[in-house]
Amino acid sequence: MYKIIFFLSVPFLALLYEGVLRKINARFQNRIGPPVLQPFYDVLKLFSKKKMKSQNDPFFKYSPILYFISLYALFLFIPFSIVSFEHDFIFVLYLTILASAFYVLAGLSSDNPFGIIGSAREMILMIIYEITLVITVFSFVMKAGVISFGDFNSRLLILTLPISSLGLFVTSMIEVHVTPFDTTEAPTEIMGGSRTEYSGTNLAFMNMSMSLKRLFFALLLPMLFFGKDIITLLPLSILFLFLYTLSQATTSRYRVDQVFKVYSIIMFLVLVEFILVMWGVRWV
Amino acid sequence: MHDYTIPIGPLHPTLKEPMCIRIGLEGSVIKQANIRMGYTHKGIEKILEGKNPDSALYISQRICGICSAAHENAYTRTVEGILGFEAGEKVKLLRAMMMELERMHSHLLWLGIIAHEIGYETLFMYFWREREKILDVFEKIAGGRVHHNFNKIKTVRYDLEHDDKRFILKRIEDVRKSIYPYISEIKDDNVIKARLKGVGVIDNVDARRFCLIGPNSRASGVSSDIRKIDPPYGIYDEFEFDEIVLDKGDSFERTLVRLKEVLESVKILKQILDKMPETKIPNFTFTTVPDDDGIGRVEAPRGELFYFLKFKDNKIVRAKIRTPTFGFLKILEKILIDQRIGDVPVLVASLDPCFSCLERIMVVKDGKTETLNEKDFRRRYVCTR
Repeated sequence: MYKIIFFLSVPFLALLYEGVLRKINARFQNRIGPPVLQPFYDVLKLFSKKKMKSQNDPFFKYSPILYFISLYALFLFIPFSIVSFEHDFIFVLYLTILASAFYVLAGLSSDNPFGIIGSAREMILMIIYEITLVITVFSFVMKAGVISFGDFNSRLLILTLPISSLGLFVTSMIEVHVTPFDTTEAPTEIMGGSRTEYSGTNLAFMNMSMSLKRLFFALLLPMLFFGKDIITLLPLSILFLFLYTLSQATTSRYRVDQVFKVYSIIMFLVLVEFILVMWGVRWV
Repeated sequence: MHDYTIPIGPLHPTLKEPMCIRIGLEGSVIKQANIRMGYTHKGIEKILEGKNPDSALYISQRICGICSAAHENAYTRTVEGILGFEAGEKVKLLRAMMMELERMHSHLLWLGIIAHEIGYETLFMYFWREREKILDVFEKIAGGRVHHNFNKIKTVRYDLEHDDKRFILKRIEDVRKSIYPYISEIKDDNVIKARLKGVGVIDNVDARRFCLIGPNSRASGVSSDIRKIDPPYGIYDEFEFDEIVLDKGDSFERTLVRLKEVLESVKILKQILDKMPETKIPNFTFTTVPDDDGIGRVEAPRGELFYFLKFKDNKIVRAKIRTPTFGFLKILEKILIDQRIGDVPVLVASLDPCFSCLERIMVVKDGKTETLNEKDFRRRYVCTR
């Protein structure tokens, strides 16, 4: 029962996390910051806006909603398995990649140069970060020796898979667009990338999706690193949120080619560890 | 030739003031760049015509919101040059004090902007927090944080009150102490170095060919500080300070030049406050200017600011103002070529352009001169309908 309640409260929790993130960020920057409930007000305001039809492209219209749905569906598996079947982690990975694909489609179909550049950057980075995401999650799942997230009950895998943990954390930073890896949005360069042309309800969906993605990774990472205990999961997710904010507050943005360069080293290390895991080598 | 063209501006988060750069892209590499100006043309030179010298002063310092003290100083120097008048020591010191405070505030503002452009919001907030301290000083001395209205012809409006000296010393000392951590942060941070080093390199030859001025030329190894020429203007020959000249000429050096110039300004300000005599400032009298013309120039935060004024019947008949931005904006088209689109904000911001100052030039298209009557002017620049 609590699983269902959690699943229904996910959008609210995501927006709350967003508010906390903004508040922490503001405190880092010596500001008071917006109220914690500000993201709720933002979303409510955007939903009350009149619908603008700037494009007739169906992809432009429906990509944000599909982006939102594909990310929301992830919470059926993470952190509590409401649905569980064999090899469902492949399905989870598929859903995250699908979400990124809808994000790219949203930008490409918006027919705006900045949106197209944002999508192009996302595609360039997708080549590298989605592969790493797949490799790291496979490493974790193989190490735990399970075939679905429902059976996942290993603890402290961060000690046995240190490089994959680091790789997964950096990947999540790219996924949730935190500096130094927020090149795909880069407000001062390309005005927010794929979101440039959106307004009203669709923009609300785009923004909420990003909050959902942030919550998803803030829950997935502690679950894989430390275990699936409900008591530790939420505090640890707040810790990861804090780490994202710390990174956001203390770094500047890489250019897209620099991200690629930095990230390819991590991908190589992660791949090496994956091969070692396949051979059954242990660090600890 | 190129894949597609995108406009940066007139409304874009990169730009703090309206201006349009149309860039032709090949992939993400810029192959062509065209600058279009004229979005904030205010017609200041026209407004100045027909004004008497005392009231024109107030127009001139409203040309720019960041370097208003530089504009009022340049104006008063021009008029006093025509009159053949040499201001007293105290007046000179007070004017130099405002100029140096303004240099600090302008450079801190710019440092915040470059941090914002590379996505380092925290550093942006911290630099602007330091800038607030200087603005507080302005408020205490002159009553205005942005426009100070400090100068009068032959004199100044405000004297230092009894505890002002201590207040200013405390504030600039706070800023001086806080600048050192920022210098080490910028020198050590890998991401900042990756974004700024080797981006937008202006070599020594180009800096001379494009006649760069201000911190931009000093970063390229060309000395251009008119506080240091012989003889220096105002009272700057009495102070000991260094002209910061670096050699590489990339965005990183331009950042360092400005950071170090803040420290030099603190040095000058301390000497000014030491030297400040206890005498009273002279009273203001209305000015009558002979029918003559003259020039004046000062070192504004962004470089040399030049004024030409021509008087007839105690009224301005021609005003020509060359702001620092005019001296270095043309090189932007050159340094944008073969750079990536992700570097555009850094490149534009690293020059520290101020379009509100600059806009008094009408572009002549295809070599044909256009004469605009008032209706045409309104249609083109005021009303968009």
